[in-house]
Amino acid sequence: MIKHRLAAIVFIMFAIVILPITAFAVDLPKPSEAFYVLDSSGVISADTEKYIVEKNDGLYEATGAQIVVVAIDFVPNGDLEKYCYNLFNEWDIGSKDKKNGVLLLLSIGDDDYWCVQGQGLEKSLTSGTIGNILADHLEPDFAKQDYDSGVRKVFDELYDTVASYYGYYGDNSSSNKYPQGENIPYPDDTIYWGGSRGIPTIFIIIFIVVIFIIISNIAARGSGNGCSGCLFGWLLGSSFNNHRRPPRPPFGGGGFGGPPFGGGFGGPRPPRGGGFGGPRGGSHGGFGGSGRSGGSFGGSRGGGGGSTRGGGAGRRK
Amino acid sequence: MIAAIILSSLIGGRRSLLKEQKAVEDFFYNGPDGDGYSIQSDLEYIGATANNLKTIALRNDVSESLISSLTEARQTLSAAKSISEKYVAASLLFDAVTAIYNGFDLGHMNSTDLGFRSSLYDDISSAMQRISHNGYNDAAREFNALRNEFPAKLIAGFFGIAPAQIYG
Repeated sequence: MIKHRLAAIVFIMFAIVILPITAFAVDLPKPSEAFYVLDSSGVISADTEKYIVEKNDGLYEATGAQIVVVAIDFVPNGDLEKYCYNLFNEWDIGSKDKKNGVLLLLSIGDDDYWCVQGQGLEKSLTSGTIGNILADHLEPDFAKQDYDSGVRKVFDELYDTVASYYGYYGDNSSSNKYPQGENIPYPDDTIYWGGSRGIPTIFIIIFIVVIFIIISNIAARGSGNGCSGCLFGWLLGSSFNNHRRPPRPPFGGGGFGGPPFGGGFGGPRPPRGGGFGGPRGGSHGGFGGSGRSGGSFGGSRGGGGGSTRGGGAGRRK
Repeated sequence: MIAAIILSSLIGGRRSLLKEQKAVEDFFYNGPDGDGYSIQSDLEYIGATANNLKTIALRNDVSESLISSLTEARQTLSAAKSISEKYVAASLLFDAVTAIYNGFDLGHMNSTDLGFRSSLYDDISSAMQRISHNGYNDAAREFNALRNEFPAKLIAGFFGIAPAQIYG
């Protein structure tokens, strides 16, 4: 009887928790595993995707900036600016502190595009500048439907503009404002826990439910501890939030979902320059620090918590 | 004793309501985080950028009447005091900007001015779009709903605390 009741409670709580968390806004896609490129239209080559992801990895690590490229077939209602605004804020592009994300959206079926910058870049990467960049570096190829070339060129220009603003010239450049090896102030103070944004919420929920089923089975056998309910409540509440770093799980570390991180659910971020278990193990798949080169761009990444006020620029007609 | 309680409640209620009202005003003028990213700052930016567009228009022989309209609209925005007035003035200014943007003779412009024409218009349009996403109106409506509840409504009426203006 108790067992059945507990199982019913688990099911109800599961349904209550999972439905709102997994429900993204209507019409907005979820980010891809690699985060920096979502190509629903199939117009961006695998090489270009890889290139964009790798460049972004370095840029994000050094500056917190993220430049995301999305290619879709159509935008609902044809309002590209509004779609970009919503998508940008849904995906939290750029760092939370500096709000220095950029989103480039290509709507192939609409034969149109739009690019919006985060709030922190409004003055350094103005909408007028974006418009000029799009006109000079994307439009010529876009008009010929050579989308891949256009994306590559415009990404490079956006990247150069954002990177130079921060004095960042690539991982191995001696011109970097902050030479590698030094402790560089991060764009925000977020402590990165292993997989804080990379592990899909669904896996966390499933893990908790499994634990609770085990506990409820023990309780049904009359273990007498009487605390499985409150333990479940604690676990549920502490894993609920998708936008803040999750608490350290009570059952030991070790990541799950995605590739192994350096420290799994490691502690506070160490100073920069580390290799294994490096500073960005939380937001990115794979290993942090400067040891990213040559690796695949597998693993899950996510937005840094940035936001936009909207605006930007699009195709000049 | 009862009178003292009632009086202190009124005074306390007034103070709370005024604080909420100030917070809404600050939202409009200084942004939700007080960081200056606000509707007011965007309007100032639009005014300044429109002036730059006028400069380009003047040297490219755009119709004088369009330029006068732009000048007048800028002045109206600058002089607007209330939030409602600012909204009307901004709409008129954007209309004037768009008219000038469409009033250039593109065939006789050099590439630099062509670039300026486009980028300045992008900047102004972008600022208008940002304003459209601004959460000020939601904050104003929330305050107004609060103000209309009992006993806030009594206190607002007694002390003349006006509802927040909607930008639009």
